[in-house]
This record gives sequence, structure tokens and C-alpha cells, in this order.
Amino acid sequence: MIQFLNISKRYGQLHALKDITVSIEAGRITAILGPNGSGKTTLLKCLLGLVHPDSGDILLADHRVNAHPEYRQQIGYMPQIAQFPEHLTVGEIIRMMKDIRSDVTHYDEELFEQFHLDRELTKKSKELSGGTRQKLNAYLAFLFQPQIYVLDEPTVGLDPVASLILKKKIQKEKQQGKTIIFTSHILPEIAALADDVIFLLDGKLLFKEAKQVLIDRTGTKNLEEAIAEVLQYSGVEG
Amino acid sequence: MSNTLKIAKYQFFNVLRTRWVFVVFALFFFLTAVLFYFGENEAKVLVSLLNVTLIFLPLLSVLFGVFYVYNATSFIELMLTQPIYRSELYGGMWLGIVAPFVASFVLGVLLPFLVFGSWAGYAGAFGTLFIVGTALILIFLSLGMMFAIFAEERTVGMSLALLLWLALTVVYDAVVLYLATVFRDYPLEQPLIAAMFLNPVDLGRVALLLQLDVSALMGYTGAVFREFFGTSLGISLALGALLLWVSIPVFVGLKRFAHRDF
Repeated sequence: MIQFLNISKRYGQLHALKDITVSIEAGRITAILGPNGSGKTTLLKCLLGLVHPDSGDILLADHRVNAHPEYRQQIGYMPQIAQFPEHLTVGEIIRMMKDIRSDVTHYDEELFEQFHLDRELTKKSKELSGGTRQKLNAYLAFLFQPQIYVLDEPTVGLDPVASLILKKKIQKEKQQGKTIIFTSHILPEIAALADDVIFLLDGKLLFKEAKQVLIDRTGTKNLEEAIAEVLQYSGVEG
Repeated sequence: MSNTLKIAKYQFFNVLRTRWVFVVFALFFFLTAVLFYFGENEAKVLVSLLNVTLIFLPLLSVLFGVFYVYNATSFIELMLTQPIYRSELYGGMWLGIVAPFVASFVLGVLLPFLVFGSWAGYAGAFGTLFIVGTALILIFLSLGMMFAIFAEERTVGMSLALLLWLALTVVYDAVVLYLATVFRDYPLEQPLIAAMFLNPVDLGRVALLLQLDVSALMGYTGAVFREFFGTSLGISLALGALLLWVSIPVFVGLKRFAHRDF
């Protein structure tokens, strides 16, 4: 279980996260949604140690996340946009990541085959299309078989086929007991994948609920309507 | 192999394939070769290389340091989500960009020199050129990286880097010259030696000129400098000053890098 306890973060004038306390259950898929600038990425970056919260604690299986990087062995991260060293080939980038993760000996090469990355191995990273870069990015997140996946808008930039492959992969990992957190703006995608939904608004936690509970509570037919209902109720437009 | 060296290894190949490193190599290679080809002797080649080394090398280095960090921002993010320390990444990036630059500068001068030149009587001077050039690369690359870590805006980092380069290569000398003229009635040797230590470009210039016969033209002041650099204390102080000039931006940049949000 991942627990965010009273996390606050300010960037100068901008209050990006306001006292967020929320927990993410192990073995489930949790979707974080909210409008642009609501703090989704910042919250994930706090978990990954990229952003240092001004106050609050993050617990990972009851251990405080601190400056020691070992805890990140458990996390596979897929950033929104991936840029790799321009003049390295795809093969070299993969080798570099494997070198750095010498603690891992068994790799998950499934996405490598499904995304046909073997065709790209000798290409320099700057020659890759945005979609291919995103495939490489996804592959690297799953490569080291972590316990937790943190995926920031994972399907953006992927073609429909690749997007489907990735969604199937996410579901498969869940069946193996992995914890998955992802952000998305695509409601049907969230409806299809997520068990739990966290909604952030202006850096505040609006709600965290199991998807089915949310739908039942609002008396609506599907997630899309349920969210619209909640937003209307809390006096927020879109 | 430590994480720092692993990162350095891949960055080395990445940087080696950039145009920047090629430009440094080609510039020094062709300049040295052409000067020798037209029958210049070693001393004249050195004087010509001196100015390119003191002006151009710092400019390229500081700009590349800034560019590199801005271009690597999202790669830095990805690396920092791996189980590595921030200091390991910073050290790896630093080594990985410094090494190809130094190699292309040293090889660019050395290769034509081995073909056309002669060590006899000039080993010290060329040795000094390599040390000064290497020191300037380390200093200005570190400064460039530091600016980019501090200033999140690309234009701000770039402007700071250019301003610093201008200050150290052009403005500083003008100010020192002006002060020397104003206070010409006073004994200035000691303050001038002190002023030299505050600017690595000046330090490099004086150290190099003293290796050549042209220093005889500098008269009494030249003699004072020559005396100073003739002692092991003087050389140690000069090397110490260069080392400080490298360590301070590396340390300050790393400190900021360790605490910054990405």
C-alpha cells in the first residue's frame, strides 16, 4: 500500500498540492484524474522523489520514502514525455538502463516483442517518432518487473494498436498482483482499467473511491456520468 | 562498476557524437596543422593556439554545459526515478561530457604536433597548453552545467553563461588594465598577481606566456611573474587556484541538483 500523508507542495505562488492524504491499495489499478494543472503529475513525482514535498510523508508498505534511492527498485515509471540522449541508439539506451539496474537479472521483454522494438535497435533516439519513443518508454517501465507501476498518461501518443497492447499489459500485471497507478484524461480508458479513482482538483483531493461504489452512489450508469454528476454537485465546471 | 561510471560511459558516447566535440577537434587539428604547414616554428604555433584556447574553448565549453543540461531535462527525470543517488547521476553526466571535450582538444593539438613539431625545448610549453586548456574546459563546462541547474529558464541560463564568459575573457582584462593605469605610480606586481588568480583565463594566459620567449617583452612585471611561477610554491598556487575554479561550480551545481525539483 502507498500512503500519502498530508502532502503539500508550493511552487512560488502556485499551491500545487494542498494537504493531500490518500492511500493507494496494493494489487489494484488506481486512476488519478483531474483537470490540467490539478496536481496529478506533481503527486506522482513526489512518490518518485523527483519533487520534494514541503510537508507530509509518503509511506511505501509502511516504510517512509526518504532520500535513499533503494525504494525506487520497486517502482517502474513511465513519464508523460520521454527524451533519451539524442545520439545513443535504442539498443544502447536499453543496455544502459539494464547496466544501471544490475540488481535485476530477469527482464520482462514482452513489450519489446509486441512493440517490435527490434526494428528500432540501431536507430538513434533523435530519429525516433514520438510514438516509438513512447513505446520504448513503456517498455523500460515494465522491463525490471517492479511491484508498482507509475504511468503518467501512458497511452497518449501511442497508436490504437500499441495503446491496446499497453492496456492489456496493464491488466495482465494487475492479475499478477502488481499495483498500478496511472493518470489519464480519457474516461473510457479509466472506466475500462481502473478499480479505484482518485480525483484531484486545484491541488486538493476531491474524492477517492472504488469505481463501482462511485457509480452506485451517484445512481448513474457509467463512470463518465458519475464523474459529471460529482463535478456538478461540487460546483465545478468540467 | 559504480553507477557514476556507467552513466559516464554512455554519456561519453552520446557527447562524442555531437557536433560540438567534432568542432573542437577540427578547429585545433586544422589550426595546428595549418600553422605548422606554413612553416611556423613551435613558439609561433603556440602563441596562435594560445588565443584560441583562451577565448574560444571557454565559450564552447560554457555554452555546451548549459545546452546539455537543458536538453537532458527529461532524461534526468527518467534517470532519477531509477534507484540511484542524484550525486551519482550528476557525477556521471559531468564525467561523460568533460572527457570527450578534453580528449578532442588534446588530440586536436597533439596529432599535428607529433607529425610536424618537435618536443625539444617546447615540452614544458605544450604541457602547459594542455593543462591550461583542460582546466578551462573543466571550469567552463562545470559553470555551464551549474547555470542550467540553477536557472530553470533556458534563456536565463544561456544569458548568464554568455555574460560570465564575456566578463572573464574581455571585461576583466579591461578593468585590470584600467586600474593598472590609474594606479601606475604604485607598485602593482603583488595586486596584479592576486588579480590574476581571480580569473582562470588570465591565469592560463600568464602561465603560457611565461613558457615562451615573448615574456621577455613584458619587462619588469614579466620578471616578477617569471620569478613567481619559477618557484614550486607559485606553480602549486596556480594549480590550486585552477582546481578551486573547477571544484566550486561542480560543488555548488551538485548541491543545487541534489535538492531541486524536476
